[in-house]
Amino acid sequence: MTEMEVKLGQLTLKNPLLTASGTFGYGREFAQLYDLSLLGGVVVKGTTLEPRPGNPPPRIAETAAGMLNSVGLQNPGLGQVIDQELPWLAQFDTAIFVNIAGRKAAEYQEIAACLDKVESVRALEVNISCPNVEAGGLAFGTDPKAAAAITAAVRDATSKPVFVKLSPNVTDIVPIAQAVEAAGADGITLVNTFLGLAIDIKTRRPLMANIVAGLSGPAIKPLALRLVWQTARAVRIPVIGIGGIMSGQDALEFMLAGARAVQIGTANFYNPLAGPQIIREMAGWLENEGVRDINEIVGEAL
Amino acid sequence: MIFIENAKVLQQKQLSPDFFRLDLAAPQIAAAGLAGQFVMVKTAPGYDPYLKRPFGISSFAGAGISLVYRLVGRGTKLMSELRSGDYLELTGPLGQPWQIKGVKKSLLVGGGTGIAPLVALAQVLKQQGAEIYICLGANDGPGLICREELAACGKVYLVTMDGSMGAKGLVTLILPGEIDFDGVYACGPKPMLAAVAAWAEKRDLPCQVSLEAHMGCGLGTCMGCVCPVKSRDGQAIYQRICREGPVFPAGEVIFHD
Repeated sequence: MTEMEVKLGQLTLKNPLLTASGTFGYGREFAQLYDLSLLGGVVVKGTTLEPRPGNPPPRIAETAAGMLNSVGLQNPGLGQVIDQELPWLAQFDTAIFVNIAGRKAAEYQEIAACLDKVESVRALEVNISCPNVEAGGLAFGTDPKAAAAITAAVRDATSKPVFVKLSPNVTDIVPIAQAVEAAGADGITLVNTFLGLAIDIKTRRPLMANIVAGLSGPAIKPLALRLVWQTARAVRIPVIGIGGIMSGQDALEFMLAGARAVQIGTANFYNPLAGPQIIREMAGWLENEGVRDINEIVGEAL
Repeated sequence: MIFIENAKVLQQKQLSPDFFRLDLAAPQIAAAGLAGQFVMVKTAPGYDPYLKRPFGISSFAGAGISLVYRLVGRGTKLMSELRSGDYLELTGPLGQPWQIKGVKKSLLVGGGTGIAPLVALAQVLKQQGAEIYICLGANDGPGLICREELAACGKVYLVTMDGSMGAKGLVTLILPGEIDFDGVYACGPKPMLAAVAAWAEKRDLPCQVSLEAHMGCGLGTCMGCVCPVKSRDGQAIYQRICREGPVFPAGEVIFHD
């Protein structure tokens, strides 16, 4: 059997597959379909200090080989996530990451400080790339200085590993990745969704209540793969690759491009069993190729 | 419990130019499912169309379920091409069912494709010995689907927009004068649901409505299918049609923005 354990700095995952923020809730629904302990990790949905109602509907639209969403970080707020959701999820032997979002640095910092005390949380994923909220989100993720400032603020507030989730909606990903690395990030997750638009031909208006939305699904895979490859060449900290991964082969392509772990998002909607299936496919392919340890292939295509 | 089943097509029946009924062998979903719940249907292999489609379970029969659907787009077109012996991936049963406990005299109101999920409801109400009155509305006669199945359960009143069958107009036109119902159930277009909810509220009748929406996952994780509802403290909050719904107490739903 190929060794599937991976290390992201200080953090060890039993395998490199995590479920992405906002596509897996807190795991309760998927736990009815498979044992969440099969997963390398679960990234809990974008969490804000106070509950957020999210954007008005319509919030989603189907596209060719993908979908647009404009949910706007609807979540019950940090208190309920800590009191109700994390203790439940902690029953599984999988690494819990919490994705966090705020309107200003102080909010990110306060959330990070609260989660620092929650033992079950293995790492934080800092969301500076949500395209669907007015304040914060993407605004922090498109400017190296702002991205570094948020990263440093979170870094100061926690001793847990800090991953920063970057937006693909930038001219050059490299300075942003290097800025968050310099600011103390333990790793980088990329990509969040690509900004897109849907038009309703009947009403002749944008379809989404929030007008713009984020594109995900297999349609974005080559775009995401390019950004992961570029980032992995430019930083020393571990990169978690995400964007349109639908199969074990897709996941291995991201690892060859330098990702030490991968996340699946929209694939969870297409196939609720995608998580364990993709892990099996990765292991099967590596086994067939005679690869002893998955870490051997990381970055081979760089 | 949620199941993913590769359901065998037992029969595909064209009910009218626009409407089809798929009878599917899905033993786990059929055993676990309740009237008012829905399934997510993967309409084609590959990535286009990408998302599954939600369909209310129209009726249960032994180890099978039936889905009645209208041709509206690519997904339903692909479904309409399925033949006996083909397979279709279903995820379900999903969502909250109709509340029927103790109901003795019921009114069911259906409009358009919203008529279909009332069949399973009428059948369980009949089983528990409830009196059932059914008001159905559609654009035209062929749109009045599932009439026979429903007529086997209760007294059916019909209305069409073009007057080709039953009275002419909207289904709210034929809502009964009696007011001693202990369960009012509505499924159909949002304006119809709003009208039935207002009608029931005025008469102080307990009313449930079943909403529909485009869905990303159907499981409750993508937050894509929300609608505004009144929370306990009276504030408007977004709830998931796939999880807290599709059946909601009518008084909680905010129909107008």
